[in-house]
Amino acid sequence: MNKINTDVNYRTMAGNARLLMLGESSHNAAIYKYEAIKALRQLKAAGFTHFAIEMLPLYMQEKIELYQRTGKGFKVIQQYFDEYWNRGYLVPKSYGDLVKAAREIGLKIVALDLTLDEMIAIDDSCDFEMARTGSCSTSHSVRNMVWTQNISNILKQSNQNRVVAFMHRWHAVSSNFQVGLDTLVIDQGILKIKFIDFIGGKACRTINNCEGYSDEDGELKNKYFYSEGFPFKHAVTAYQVHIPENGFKIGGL
Amino acid sequence: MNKAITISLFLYTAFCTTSYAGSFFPKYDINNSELPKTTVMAQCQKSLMHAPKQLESWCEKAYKLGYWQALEYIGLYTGDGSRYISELNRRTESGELDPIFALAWNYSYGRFVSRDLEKSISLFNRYLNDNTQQEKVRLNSVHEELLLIYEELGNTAKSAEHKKYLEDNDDIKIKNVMLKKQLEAAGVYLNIND
Repeated sequence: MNKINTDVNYRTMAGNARLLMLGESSHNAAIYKYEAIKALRQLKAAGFTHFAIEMLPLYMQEKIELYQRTGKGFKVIQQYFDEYWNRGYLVPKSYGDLVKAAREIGLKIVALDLTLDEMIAIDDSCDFEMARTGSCSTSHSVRNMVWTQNISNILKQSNQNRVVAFMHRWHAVSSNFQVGLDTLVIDQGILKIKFIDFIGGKACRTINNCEGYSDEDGELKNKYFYSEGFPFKHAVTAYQVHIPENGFKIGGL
Repeated sequence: MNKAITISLFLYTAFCTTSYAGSFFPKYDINNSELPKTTVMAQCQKSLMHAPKQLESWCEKAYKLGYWQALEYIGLYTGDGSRYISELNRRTESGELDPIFALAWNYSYGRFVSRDLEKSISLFNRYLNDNTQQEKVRLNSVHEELLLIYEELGNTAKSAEHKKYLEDNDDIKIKNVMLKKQLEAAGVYLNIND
């Protein structure tokens, strides 16, 4: 394991990145969203301007902008999380809180994703054999390409623009042969990219049914720290932030 | 790649259809013996992000049904890719193309194995030599990987060779056309310019 550092400072990790990807190692842990809120506060102070998020679809962008401008219309955003991102106790709420925080902090919120129906349609038109030969791409890859385009356009609009993008780790980096944003965005000519992966913490199905997600041993399991590196293929400088299993109280947990 | 694509979100907002039904991880009975192989494979793949606690059971089932790539997902989830690499080695020895490609890829990035660029080059070249079906996109991706390796090794002659191959074979254009076609087939009306 790489050297650990208990001074978890997102501004330091971000450096001069124009795109900082915050990856969650699991959608199931609400705590990762609250860690992201902590990161956003520091990153806004460091000059980041936009907050892009996997968990909202492109078609909601107008609704999001209305919410951003007026503070009205959050209900429809929360409903979407409730419907599609109910991965455990407090998880939909935590996504909602993340969006609320991004607005309050003053970051422009950007929806990245396709809808579930669109993903299904893409996969229906690209079976395993076709994807294997490369004659079409799975919805995972198509989504990565669409997100890349959206983020790249923002970064190319102005040199002042800097994006924090929140997504599952296997979109930020390549999972198997499905190229991750770390590579796709570089291919767009944007070179200052960093990736921070959230690990550890705990995930709960109910208030009384939680599971620790840390792979660390002994005292480290309950320690808050970060280390440089990522155990799988990655094309940019990467860090892992370890959330303590017994840390941060949310919703009575 | 995809440098020339620009997407207008305005058209998208105007034409898209939405639905709140469904789930990123459909609920199937894993014990249902009549589940199609493709469904089991898809469940294995999707579980990596959407149901990690079910990954091993779905991927073991997929593996039993002949989907050897399921071992990769198990490796990604557990962090132990030794079974996957053993499978790739065994299949590479018997000359199967996909495992040759996969093994080359893993050696290129040092994933589940110690990084070995020479070995990776050798395997990618073997793939190119043995691949008589000429699947253009896959061939392009092999040349892309070789380009990256030779760039890293500072071999300008070889990297120029692979770069030229990609230019001559419309790599970016093919990918852009494919993306546009797939999005439109899915009812996603984004304005993509090549």
